[in-house]
Amino acid sequence: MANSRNHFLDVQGVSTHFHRRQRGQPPVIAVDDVSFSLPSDQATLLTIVGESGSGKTTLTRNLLGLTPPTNGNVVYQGKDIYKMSSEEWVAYRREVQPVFQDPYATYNPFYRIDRVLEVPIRKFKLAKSKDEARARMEEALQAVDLRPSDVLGRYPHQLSGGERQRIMLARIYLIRPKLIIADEPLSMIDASLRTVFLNILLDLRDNHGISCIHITHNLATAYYLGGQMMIMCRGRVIERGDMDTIVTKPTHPYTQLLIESVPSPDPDQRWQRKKQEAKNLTEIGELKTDVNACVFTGRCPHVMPVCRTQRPQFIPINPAQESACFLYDKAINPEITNAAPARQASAD
Amino acid sequence: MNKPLLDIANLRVYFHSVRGEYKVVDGVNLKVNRNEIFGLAGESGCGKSTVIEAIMRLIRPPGYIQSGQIMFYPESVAENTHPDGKVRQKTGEDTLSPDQLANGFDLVKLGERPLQQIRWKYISYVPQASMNSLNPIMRIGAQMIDAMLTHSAYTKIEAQQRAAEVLEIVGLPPRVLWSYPHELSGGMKQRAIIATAMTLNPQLVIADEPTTALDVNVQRAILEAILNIKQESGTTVMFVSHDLAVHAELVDRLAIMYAGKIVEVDTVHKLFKEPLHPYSQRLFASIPVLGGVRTRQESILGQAPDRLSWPPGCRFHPRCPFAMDKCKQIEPPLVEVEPGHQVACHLYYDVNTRAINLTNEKVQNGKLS
Amino acid sequence: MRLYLQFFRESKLLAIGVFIFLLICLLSIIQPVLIKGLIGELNPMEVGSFAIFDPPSTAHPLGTDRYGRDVMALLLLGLRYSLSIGLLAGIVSTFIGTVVGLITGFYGGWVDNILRSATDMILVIPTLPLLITLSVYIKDMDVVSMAFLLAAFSWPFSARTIRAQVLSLRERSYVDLARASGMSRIEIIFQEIMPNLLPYLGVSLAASIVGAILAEFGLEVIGLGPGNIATLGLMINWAIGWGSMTLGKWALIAAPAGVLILIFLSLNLINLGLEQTFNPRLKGTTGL
Repeated sequence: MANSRNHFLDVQGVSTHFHRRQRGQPPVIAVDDVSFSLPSDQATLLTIVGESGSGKTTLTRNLLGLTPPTNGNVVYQGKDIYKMSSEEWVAYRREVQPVFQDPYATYNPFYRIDRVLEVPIRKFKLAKSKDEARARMEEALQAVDLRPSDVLGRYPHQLSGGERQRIMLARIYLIRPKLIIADEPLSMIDASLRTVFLNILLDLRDNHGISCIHITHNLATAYYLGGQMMIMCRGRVIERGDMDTIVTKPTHPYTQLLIESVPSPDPDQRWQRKKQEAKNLTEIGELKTDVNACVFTGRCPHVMPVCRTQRPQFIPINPAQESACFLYDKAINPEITNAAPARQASAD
Repeated sequence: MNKPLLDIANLRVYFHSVRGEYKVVDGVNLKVNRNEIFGLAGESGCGKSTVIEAIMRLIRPPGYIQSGQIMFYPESVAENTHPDGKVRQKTGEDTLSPDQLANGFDLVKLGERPLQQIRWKYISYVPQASMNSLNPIMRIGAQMIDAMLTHSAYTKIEAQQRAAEVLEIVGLPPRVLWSYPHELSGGMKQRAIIATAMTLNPQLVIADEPTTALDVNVQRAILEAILNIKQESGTTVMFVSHDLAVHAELVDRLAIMYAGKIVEVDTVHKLFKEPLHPYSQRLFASIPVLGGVRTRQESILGQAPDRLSWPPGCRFHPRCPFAMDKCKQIEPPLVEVEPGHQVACHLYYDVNTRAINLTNEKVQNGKLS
Repeated sequence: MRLYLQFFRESKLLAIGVFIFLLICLLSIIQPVLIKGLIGELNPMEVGSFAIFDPPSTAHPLGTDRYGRDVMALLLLGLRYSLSIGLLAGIVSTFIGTVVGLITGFYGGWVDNILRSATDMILVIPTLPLLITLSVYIKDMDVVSMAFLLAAFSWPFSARTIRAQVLSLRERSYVDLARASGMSRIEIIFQEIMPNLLPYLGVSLAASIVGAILAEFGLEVIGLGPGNIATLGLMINWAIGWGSMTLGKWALIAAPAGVLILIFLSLNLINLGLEQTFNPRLKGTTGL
């Protein structure tokens, strides 16, 4: 905890278990010992990539203070968020804001959309008078390219998905948090709005110093943001570091599989198809997890005996990249297999 | 064999509403050839799902097919046989006349009974999010066999065999037959649905956004499954998606749709290299490329037009960087400017002189780099 | 307000149901005036005011009963009592049920466990035998006591429904957003969740009222309710006792039965209508 002060956000060994309905069954480990931190001195864009079942949604809830973790701490500016006093908690709420995936479900259908902007103004005391509140609302809407007269006073079902998601961004502008946690914000909006959205995130970082944790399963769209990246598989982080480095030279076999499976927009470079492949495409979700083994043993083309009996720790590959894989452990694997560059068939 | 499998001419599907007519599909022309995977791409709201619903005759009020033809030229019965050599149609129920089978027929004009013959046996449909339409209290195998027994003269044993066969084509293990839907992941369910669509060996399978919102690995499995369908059974596939990268991996020919009309059609290789229509160019330029050079992009100018009142002339003109005066008044027709390549744009075809102009200097910018 | 008027346009059933019900309520409110019009200053319950078993006529639209009382007047009186008991019991029951449902649904944990056990215990108790037993001992029941008694046994039904809804509603994204906007839990319960419960409240209320009237009617018909007020059930009890059917005085049974049917019909139409208007909206969470 001592050097937490240097870190703006410090996630320390967070694990979240969910108990199953039937007694006697081991709990579902949604998040398994995740740690990372965001530095205070500069605004960061961190992308957390994971497929469904990877635990990314649960981790998001842990970070937002919506679901307390079973083990570990989420420390914000030196204080554990689940142990804060109510004033500190309100401050945390104000400084860390979410953007959710579904631009319809985030609105209470009973109220007009104005409420989504009015409540934060009221709760975080962002304006001193009704006129000032109105002015700030309009300013925020204009910042995301919406005409206030077009959207204010309407009900959610009267607006398009794109407009609703823009209003969520306007809300962010309004609140000016220090950190945005965006959970799959792009999956339900159009391609053209995605670009707008990502540009706004970049803008917020470069011009307003607002950091963002972007959680997604779509690596291709997330690439546009650059920055740092963490790959999650079955609740654990298996590779992390600089996004560009990882994408060009992925080291963990799961990362390699992920990147290779991203469809490439070049018809001349299609996946090398092997007929047997189709039969063996066990989905990651089907794998069983053992606490004392690597999560990927069920599908790893380079699996070794040690992978089944020990849980891999992070091994630095280079200053910008770390991988939790025994392949890179010099003690176990003296001739380190170099990462296969993306877009080539793996050697099996 | 040169006839296309499906030939849509001037299809218009409108929706009544208090505020006017929504012209969701407004003059669509396209041909799907046999044994190919045909892709239909476009952003949400362009009408692509409605085109599919029109083909399957699933348009319900307030929607209606205002005009147009959907000609279907099924392969002759001798060509469409079950792998074991026998044709499997339910006896006494085939209400398609030999003439229809020989010369093709218009799906728009078909009555409900003949349509029931067509669905599953000639044309199969995998709608969006169809994995949610599985019956939660029946095993997968039972559902598949059920569908087969209803629509054909298969015996139960034959149906069971066929079910196992199609599961193999989509890459699912045989145990799926005895699983309940909740025991399978989303991707597996989707593949099971695709397998069910294949059971009666249809000549055309239409898949509407089968991979949307699914994980990348799962998506890959589904795309591979669809490719296997084409390769192993010779089935023609029509694939609808807004994701161009997926089309790049999968389809042979691709059509781009905008505002209820087709704006460009070509083989996927050529189209990705040299899109001609300014909308296609913008669309291709904005595909996220993993690992590519990172440049700041600006989004396509403006927003999609209102479906109640399309802009006059070319529907893209308010957002087109190359718009000319005539674009605001005259709608450009879809014209074949090179063999196999159709585009609807005044830059390439002069309506008056009927001259084709492929080397338009204005279009040098905006190409996919 | 406009939102509510829209509901009526969307569901004819709702409109008809509400209309009939309001009509009935209106009748029961202006009932003293009507009675006065029919029989002057006489107390409708008073025996011997008129001739016995008179057939329906202009003076007595539904005839008279065995004790020479105007049936129509009795009907109006009975309507008012039945309706008051039903409404009061229904409202109290729904109120308790909603509060319990909200608390247990939203907070969960040990509060949920305790209250749910209580709910289940009460549900298990066979209401009718209990009410019969109680009514033997409590001779002089008035409208209010009867209503509270009925409410005490019927609140679990609405509690269950409301709780189920709250459980689902609290998982909605807008609740998360509200938390992230700094709203406290209580504020969220009343401002975010409660408005979306209104359709369920309406349905619960209608169902409770029906249930209460039915329970009370059941008791009356077998002669176990308070004997001093002429509720509809009691009228039917009398009519059966006098052998009205064999005597051909069908109005004596048909009239109170008819009114009851009308009440139930209107309330059930309201139920159906509410479900019609709200269901598609309740189920849909995405889309334009």
